Amino acid sequence: MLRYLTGFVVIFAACFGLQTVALRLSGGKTLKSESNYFSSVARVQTETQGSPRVMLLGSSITGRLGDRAEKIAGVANLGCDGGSAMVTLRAIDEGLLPTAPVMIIEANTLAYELEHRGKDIGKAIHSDWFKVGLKTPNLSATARPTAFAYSWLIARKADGGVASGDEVLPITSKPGVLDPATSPALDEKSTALVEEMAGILKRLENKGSKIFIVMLPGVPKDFPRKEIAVALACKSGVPWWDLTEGLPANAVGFTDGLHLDALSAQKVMNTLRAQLIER
Amino acid sequence: MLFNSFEFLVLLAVTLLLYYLPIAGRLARVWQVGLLLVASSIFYGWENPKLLILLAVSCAANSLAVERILFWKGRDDPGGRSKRWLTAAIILNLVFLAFFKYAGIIYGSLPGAWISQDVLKWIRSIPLPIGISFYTFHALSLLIDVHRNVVTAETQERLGRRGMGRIASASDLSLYIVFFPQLVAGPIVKARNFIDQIRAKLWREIDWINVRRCLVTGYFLKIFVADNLSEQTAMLTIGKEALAASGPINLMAMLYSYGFQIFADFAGYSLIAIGLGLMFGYRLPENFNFPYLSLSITEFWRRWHLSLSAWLRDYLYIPLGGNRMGPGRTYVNLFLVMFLGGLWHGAEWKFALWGTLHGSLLAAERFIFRSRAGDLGSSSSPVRMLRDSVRWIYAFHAVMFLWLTFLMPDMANIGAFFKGLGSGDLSLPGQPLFALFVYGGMVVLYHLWGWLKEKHPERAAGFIHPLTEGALHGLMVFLILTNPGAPRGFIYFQF
Repeated sequence: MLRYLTGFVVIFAACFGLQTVALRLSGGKTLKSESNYFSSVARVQTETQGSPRVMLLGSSITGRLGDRAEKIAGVANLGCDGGSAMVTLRAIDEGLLPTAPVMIIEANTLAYELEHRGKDIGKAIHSDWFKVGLKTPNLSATARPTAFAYSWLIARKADGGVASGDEVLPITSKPGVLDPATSPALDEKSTALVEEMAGILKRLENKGSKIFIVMLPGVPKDFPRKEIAVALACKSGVPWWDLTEGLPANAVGFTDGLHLDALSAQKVMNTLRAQLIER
Repeated sequence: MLFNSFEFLVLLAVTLLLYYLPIAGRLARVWQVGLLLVASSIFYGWENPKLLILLAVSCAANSLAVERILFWKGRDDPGGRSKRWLTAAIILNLVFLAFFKYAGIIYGSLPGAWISQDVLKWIRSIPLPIGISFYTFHALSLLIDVHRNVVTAETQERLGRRGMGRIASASDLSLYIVFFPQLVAGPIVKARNFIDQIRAKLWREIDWINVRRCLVTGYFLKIFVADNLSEQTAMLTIGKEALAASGPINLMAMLYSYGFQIFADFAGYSLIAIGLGLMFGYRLPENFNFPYLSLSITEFWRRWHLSLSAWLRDYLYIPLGGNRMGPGRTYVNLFLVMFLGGLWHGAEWKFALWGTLHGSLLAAERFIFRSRAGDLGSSSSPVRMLRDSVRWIYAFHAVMFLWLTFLMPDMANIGAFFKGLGSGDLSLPGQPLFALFVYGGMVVLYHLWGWLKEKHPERAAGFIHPLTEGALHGLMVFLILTNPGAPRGFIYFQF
């Protein structure tokens, strides 16, 4: 029994020791996990630490900006793979996550909420395990041993690294408030969702947050429903900005038709920084 | 309640502490059986206490039937009343199972004019009592074993008690049906192998070495392997358009991952159940014996879900005549048993198809291997190795591709899968391949260990040392804690 316990304790402690060292060397977070679910939870756990000035809320389209563009100090990326900004918006509204002075909401996938996509991540944010991960980094989603391995593999890929540069998107549009009279007609379920989202945005504005709804390059082919985001912008009076408006077809590239490649992610972040982040 | 939930750990700890309280004499047995019945009821009724009613009815009805069978067997019984009680009880159990599990598929298969849509909708809204297939098979095993006189005389005496003694006999019988480690998803324990084990248990008798082996390996297979693979394999069911648009490497990675996931999920559950059983002094049967080492489908069914195979053999295949009534009847029996075995998994025709295809391969192998029996033993070593490799590739891929019928909602999705296989898109999908190598690799390593134990037991024995075992368990527990998959229920809970 003693020999068994010795072997157990030594290896168990060594594994935690190695993980701690790896976590320190990687700056407290890994780039990406092989699991979309854990990548999202990891983003939410690590990016809400401290007091971010700006929060980007959205899906994996938003998440890609954090994974492949240069990190901007004070900007938290809360992209939820497979979900939408509503997953984190609800958690912020419930007080489970902190707010930020500037909140940028990805419009592309807001309609996903009609199908409750990303509810697993929402459930995770409510769980005790999520809170344990916030207090004990070794048990957080970003410190998963497989996340270190997967991040290392991504970093080795030719197109997998993080881009840099100052180039912005070749567009002339600016954020602006939409006329409520131009709000598209919606069915009952969509209207209820827009009402709920508008209520959350109002409460966040009352707490002092400046909010923007932004359409990023990359349209989900299976469930576009852009009108829901437009209706939300009309209903809430929150500034709307469509980055795809007037964007030349070859101005950005995608790795899979939906998620931006590193260079394009950097361009989008530079564009957002110029207009919204450093205003 | 799930084995991998916090509330279960609390229930387990409390039950274990109370179970081994130093109670002297005959009361110890009464206390322990009673406590396990209470704990099992909490475990089963945690999500939906209403389900306990059906379980209680099943226990009460089977208890009465067993008492009556034993009563009439102890007498002259010229009218064959014990057999009548047996038949009635079997029918009652099967009616319960049919109503709660198969009513939807039975009525749904009838012509539309025969049944109104409202009634059909109501039937389909009846919730499936979790684990009903498992505890019904337990009950049938009990009735048949008692009628066949294959339980010990002492157990017969105990189960056949009347008056106040009936409470004790009903408790023993109920414990066999509801014992929480095996209640929801097996292993399916035969009555003769469980009831004779019921006696007062002592803390010092716990086989801790096997408890820790079963629990660590079981939780590792479930939480680290199966739950992590499930996120990738979910892509197999997202729709036929997406499947048809996927490339063959992506699809095969997901298919292999599903094969490894379902093994890790069910074998993990079974190992946890066996480990928990040992903690309370009960030995449950092994359920898996490295099934992906099989060189044929026949061998696969001697290694996969052993307790179900044994149940079907003892209570269905042999009573149907087995292989004693000529080759033609043997093929029919194999086919029929596998068809029913497939349907046992779920009230959908896809499960029947899965079982039937396995039955067809079993019959085909029986035909081929019987006619070539003389050739098989005479090969030289390299030839045998080559032949075994070919047979392994056949058996492994037959099992993998047949999982498609088990998993996919319909034939259109299976068609889309094969369309995608032929798409010629050879791009390498990062996440599914990574998951297959890391998590599926654990199942491969597990089977390599099984291969070593079977082919080179002396070398395998050299690896078994408390220090290395402790180190391996330390690594596995670390991965369970830091790298779990998203929490999910066990696949076999739905059956």
